[in-house]
Amino acid sequence: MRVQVDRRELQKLSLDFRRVASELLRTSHDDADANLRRFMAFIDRDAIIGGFIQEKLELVDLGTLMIEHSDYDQRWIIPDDPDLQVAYVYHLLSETTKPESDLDYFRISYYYNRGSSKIQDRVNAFNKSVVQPFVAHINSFVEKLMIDAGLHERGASVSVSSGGMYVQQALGSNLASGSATISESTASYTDARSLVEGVHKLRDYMDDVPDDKKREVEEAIDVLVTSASGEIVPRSVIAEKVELVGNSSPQMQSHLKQLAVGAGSGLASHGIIQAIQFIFERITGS
Amino acid sequence: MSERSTQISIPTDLDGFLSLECPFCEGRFKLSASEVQEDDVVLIHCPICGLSDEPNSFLTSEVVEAANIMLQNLAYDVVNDAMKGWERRSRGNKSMTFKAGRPIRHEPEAVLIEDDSLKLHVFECCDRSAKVSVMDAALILKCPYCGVAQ
Repeated sequence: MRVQVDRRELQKLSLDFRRVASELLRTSHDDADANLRRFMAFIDRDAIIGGFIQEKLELVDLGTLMIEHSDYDQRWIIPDDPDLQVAYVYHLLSETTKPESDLDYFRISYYYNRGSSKIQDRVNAFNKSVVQPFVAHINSFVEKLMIDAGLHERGASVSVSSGGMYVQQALGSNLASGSATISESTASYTDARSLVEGVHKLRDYMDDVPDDKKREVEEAIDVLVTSASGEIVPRSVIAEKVELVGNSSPQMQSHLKQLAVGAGSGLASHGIIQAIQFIFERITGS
Repeated sequence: MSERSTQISIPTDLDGFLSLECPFCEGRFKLSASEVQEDDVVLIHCPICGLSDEPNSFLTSEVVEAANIMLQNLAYDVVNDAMKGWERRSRGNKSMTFKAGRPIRHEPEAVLIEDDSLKLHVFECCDRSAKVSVMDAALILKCPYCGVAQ
């Protein structure tokens, strides 16, 4: 999965990201949960930032990471490694926004600035210690893309893979060819409705799934259908469900591959397609 | 009790630029004082990290400290005046006397000095400029008024 972006698009992305990040960083404690949801929705919706985070998430076992980096008093211990920092903070914030989660902004920031009895002071301290470094990593990533895209040269563009690697750069030419053109010519899934139908078809292979896994796989397909319908589902959740479905039967894996190959350019930046593509590449080792 | 107020004057450099400090990255930069005070400037973007907040949030720590000292001295004046008032009023009272004692001394006020070593950068998008350090000038700067990375 590659996304072609030019200087102007990166400028817009940078500006939009900094706008939602600023709103979260200067939030009042009353609006903190709403601002966090907006921030996470922006990250999950954007193909470039989402791809960057997905790459970091794949580097670690999140369960172990979260256990290793929690203190007895529940103050979050941010890993020193920048890649782990991104994965850790994203996972923490993502868990906080889940509807079924016990966490909210008040709870995750409770153990910060304990010298103050004001909730706002604790939210500010949490934002400074935890959220701001995370924002800085993403900001830095986008700025590096701008440098790669030749910020001062008009017509320059950069190609970003799902993992955020910069793979191609050119001046003055439209690079929306290559993989994007191939996808278009063979696309079976060109809009959200066809994608929903494509994901729904996974149910046709339920007979091949072992009985003890059926319920889990059905729930995973439900989540993928929800995401395909346009509702915001965190990328980490999509990736987890895609992997689960893909590993449950060879037919399902094959159908997922078809979805990834058959997605038209209009769906190229769709979170679910990116996740499927990413898992597909990992499964086949290509 | 009557209200009291005080004012703090923030100096600018010879070009009329005012020192500011980002509340997020703590980076230092300067903007034209007259432009910052324009009505349409509701938010300022830090030219270094690009995050935005209200203009008042960008006051430097020195200015905030100087303002706090001024307020502290104002509070001392209020207390000293109240003590003197009680002393005056108790003069005619035979059963009780009140002596104000020594007034609380003012803290020395901070002197604000403008650093003049920053480099001017013009943002073509808004046709406005900022001053940033030579190190920061090597980064991708963001327009303080519209936020677009240059």
